Amino acid sequence: MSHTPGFDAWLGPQVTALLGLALQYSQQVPFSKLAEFAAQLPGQEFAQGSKSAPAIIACDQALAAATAAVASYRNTHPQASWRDCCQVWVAAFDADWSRSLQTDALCAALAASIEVAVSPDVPR
Amino acid sequence: MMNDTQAIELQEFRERVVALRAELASIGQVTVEASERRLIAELHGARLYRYGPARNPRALFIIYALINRPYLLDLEPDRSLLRRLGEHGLSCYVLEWAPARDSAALGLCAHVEQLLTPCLQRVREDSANPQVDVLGVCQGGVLALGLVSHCPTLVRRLITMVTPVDFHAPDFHLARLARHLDTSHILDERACVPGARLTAGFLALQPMRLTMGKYLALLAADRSGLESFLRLENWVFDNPDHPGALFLDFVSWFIQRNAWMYGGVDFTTKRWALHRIQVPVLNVYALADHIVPPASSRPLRQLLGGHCDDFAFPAGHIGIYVSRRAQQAVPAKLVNWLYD
Repeated sequence: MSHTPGFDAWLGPQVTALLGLALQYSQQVPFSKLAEFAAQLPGQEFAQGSKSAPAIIACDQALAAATAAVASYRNTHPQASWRDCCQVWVAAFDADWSRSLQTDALCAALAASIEVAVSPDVPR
Repeated sequence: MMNDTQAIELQEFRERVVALRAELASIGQVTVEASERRLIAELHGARLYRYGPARNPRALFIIYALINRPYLLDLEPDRSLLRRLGEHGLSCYVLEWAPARDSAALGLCAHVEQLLTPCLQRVREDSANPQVDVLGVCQGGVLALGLVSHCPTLVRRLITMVTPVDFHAPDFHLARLARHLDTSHILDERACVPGARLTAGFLALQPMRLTMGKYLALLAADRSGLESFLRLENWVFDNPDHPGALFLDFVSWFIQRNAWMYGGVDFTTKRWALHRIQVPVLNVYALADHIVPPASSRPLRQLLGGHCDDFAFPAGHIGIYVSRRAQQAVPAKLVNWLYD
């Protein structure tokens, strides 16, 4: 593609990620494995933050909430499409993540990841 | 285990993802289909453009945020706040901020007094109006409040759109995150905050929806929809670097001290206070805004008193400018409020 360099680096992997999710789904890999998958995405700043303990905890909680939400949704909607399940998963993850963002611990961890990325050599 | 229906649906999904990638690749470079405009002033590297005729009694000075770029207001003909306002007879004046390296040393006060105030004067001259209307977008709304407080007699009416006022509102996650920044470690060697880092902060607010969820919706898009998506996507990842001095002032006064909620901004020799703003104000906010939540914008009405009207629209922080529903309702509301 010939869009902006940052955009090219972003979109290709993201679309590939969807395909990856579909493949995981087809192999019945639990949705809880998505954290590892998300962490592999190039340019995934969210994953940078998740290297810190508060972010890992928040991520684990959000993954559990998202997994439970999809399981519940599939129970009540046995014919649910893959796309619908993904949307339920995404919404549930972000809703739980948003609750964690109300804590200072997660905000501090994410803020620190932004600072470090700007000035990696600055002694802290 | 997967049943037959799910297997077929999944196969179709995979095929659609593959096709989507090929389709996106075939589109190539998308360009913003901007409206015609005329450069009318340059100041410290910033450029003031006019959309529409000069000497127009309906003149609107739009102050955009420095966080991202103002072409969001004019992405393509069907998604252009500027075009819609032009169709109502307005001439819009839009300031494109200087590259951050050129204004890195200009703080909050300097941005208002050395950039916005001269631009406001230029808009008055070019439009031949003693007073003009001002519209501030997001962070630009905060600066607009400072501008009107600084020169209250030069503005006729003020519109703030998705503008944060209470930076300590409980669900204002972006501000909470920014409160934890160690500002001594946020500037690069040019005394700027790199735009990519700001993008990272925004993505951290809804990491899954903003990185994966939106591509799910894309699977159903036609070619025109894909091109529109790419225009907006380019904009999302096109955040400019932010001038360092302004960023530090903004964090200090608003993110940390929540200045509007506690009387205003006290510089050494002057003060910006909301009580100095006596012009009619329309406070526009988006009900599904995850960046500047309504709870942060709403207090403006109480702080200003009886001359502030609210307009709450069911959209997100970006959708209020580009969604089809917003394209019909929002410009009409702005124009009605300005001139009725």
